[in-house]
Amino acid sequence: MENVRRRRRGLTAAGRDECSRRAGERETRTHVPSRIVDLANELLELVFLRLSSPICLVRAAAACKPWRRLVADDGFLRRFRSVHGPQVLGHHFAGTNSTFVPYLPAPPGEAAAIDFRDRLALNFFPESNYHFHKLYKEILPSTMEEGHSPCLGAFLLDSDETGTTPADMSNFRVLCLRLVGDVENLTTTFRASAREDRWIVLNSVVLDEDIAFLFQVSAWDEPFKSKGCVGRFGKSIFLHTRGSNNILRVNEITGALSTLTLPPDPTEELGDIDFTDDRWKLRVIGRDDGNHVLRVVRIIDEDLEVLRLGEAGVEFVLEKRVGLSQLCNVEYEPGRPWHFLQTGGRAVAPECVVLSPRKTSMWMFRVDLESMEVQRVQKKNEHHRPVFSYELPWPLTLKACL
Amino acid sequence: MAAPESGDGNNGAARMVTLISSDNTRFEVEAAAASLSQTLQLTILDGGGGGGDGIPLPNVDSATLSKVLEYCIKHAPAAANGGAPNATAVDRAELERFDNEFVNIDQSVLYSLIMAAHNLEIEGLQSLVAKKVADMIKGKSPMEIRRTLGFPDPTPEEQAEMNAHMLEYGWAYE
Repeated sequence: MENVRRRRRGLTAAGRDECSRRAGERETRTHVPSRIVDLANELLELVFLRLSSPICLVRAAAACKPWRRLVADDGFLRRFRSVHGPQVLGHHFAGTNSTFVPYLPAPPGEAAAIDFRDRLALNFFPESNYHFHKLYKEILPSTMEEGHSPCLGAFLLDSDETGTTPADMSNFRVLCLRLVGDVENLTTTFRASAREDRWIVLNSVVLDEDIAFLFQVSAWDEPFKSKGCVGRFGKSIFLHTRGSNNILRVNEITGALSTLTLPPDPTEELGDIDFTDDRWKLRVIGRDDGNHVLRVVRIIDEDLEVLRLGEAGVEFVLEKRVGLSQLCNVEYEPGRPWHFLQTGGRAVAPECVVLSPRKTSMWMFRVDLESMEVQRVQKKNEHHRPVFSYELPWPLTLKACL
Repeated sequence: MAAPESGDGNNGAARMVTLISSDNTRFEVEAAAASLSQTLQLTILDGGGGGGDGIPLPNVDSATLSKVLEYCIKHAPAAANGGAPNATAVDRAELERFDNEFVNIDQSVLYSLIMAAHNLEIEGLQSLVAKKVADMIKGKSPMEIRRTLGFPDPTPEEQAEMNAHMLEYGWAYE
């Protein structure tokens, strides 16, 4: 403080003029606040704008009515949002072992390797996952709670039909397939959205008995895991259960169901139900634009099979079959099966798949199905799983005078 | 302390200005430090505040002004370097340490500081104090917020309103 020298002196007339001209140009407040409730709203707003989370904001709003008015103000909420952006609470890593990791930035450096084409798979979250349960929202159709009607799959859709806006906790849509009645194999498609907050029935059809059986058994195994989702584009979701030669196509808009047929997998006995997640071994690949070629890619032992939907649009026919170890120039290791990564690749073109020789491998391979070109990519996301971010509800609609 | 370069160059001596608090205490301070205040900067650029005149600040008492100037003097060298592009990590760490200690003060002082910083338009100080107060609110329940910030105990009506609000926005309390 050596630079500050205090000298007590009277205030000169000139000084007073200066005051009214300069410092006094701003609001003149002679009252010095000593408690937070004495602070003017504009000052309080400066404080509130530095609360990083809407949770803190809501709690502060609960403290007293004047604060509630301030926080509920449209202008304030706009400024808050422009300062903080959407509030990401954490990221949910999907996959067989779902985990919710709070407050992480988006996982770095995997631009080349995360595929959101199958991001609709809404794996309902294990009860042990405490963090997620904080954000859990009950969205089961009420009829689902009655009796024994298994859910064949529940899928998280984008927030709108253009598919351009990713879903979050405030705007998701969910499609749900449910078997109604044990005998008739009547399957009903429901859709719910966060905005409407109710389920609507899209379509009801009677499924082929064998297909219904397989899906039903699979559904009983883990009722609310949409394990069977093997692809999604052209406004359709494709479901497959191992042991079946059929792929079920669900139209996201109409809820209509249709069946596509695969040539049998020589290594599998038909009807031999295997509950390993089928997305490891089989994918449906296509483009979102109108004139897409629908392909199935599957791994059979060491080989990659590429199948193409035939003229009639019902059956898949073999297009090519290549040895994977040879294609990717990797040493063949018996008993270490190749698998598709749950991820695929974010920057992956529609006709690409991403595979890895084994779980522990540090490499994955991106294969272009048209040219069969291979690109080797280092795994960065250790668990190579799709990642969803969870945001807090916004806009806050606070009732100012509650 | 080295003289800041932003002086008007009369033999390297730093130009001084005098500020007068609401209770008539005079503070003589380097113009560069006082110029952290956008409001004062205008006056000082006009040549005001020098000599025997002084700049009266009727909204700021001497206790608050002394605190404000403590901040300005500490931050003036970095500010004179245009946001301190060539500041060393040590300098920045030292400023940070100073800031943390600086706001470790009685609440009532914080409130008069933020008002002074707002009126004098000292962006850095305003932001520092606002953040400190926000930190006192963060992670607390409404009742804890009230207690921490010295609100009176809620009346039954206020309590009922608080409860209703918490029920309505249950997601913020889980």
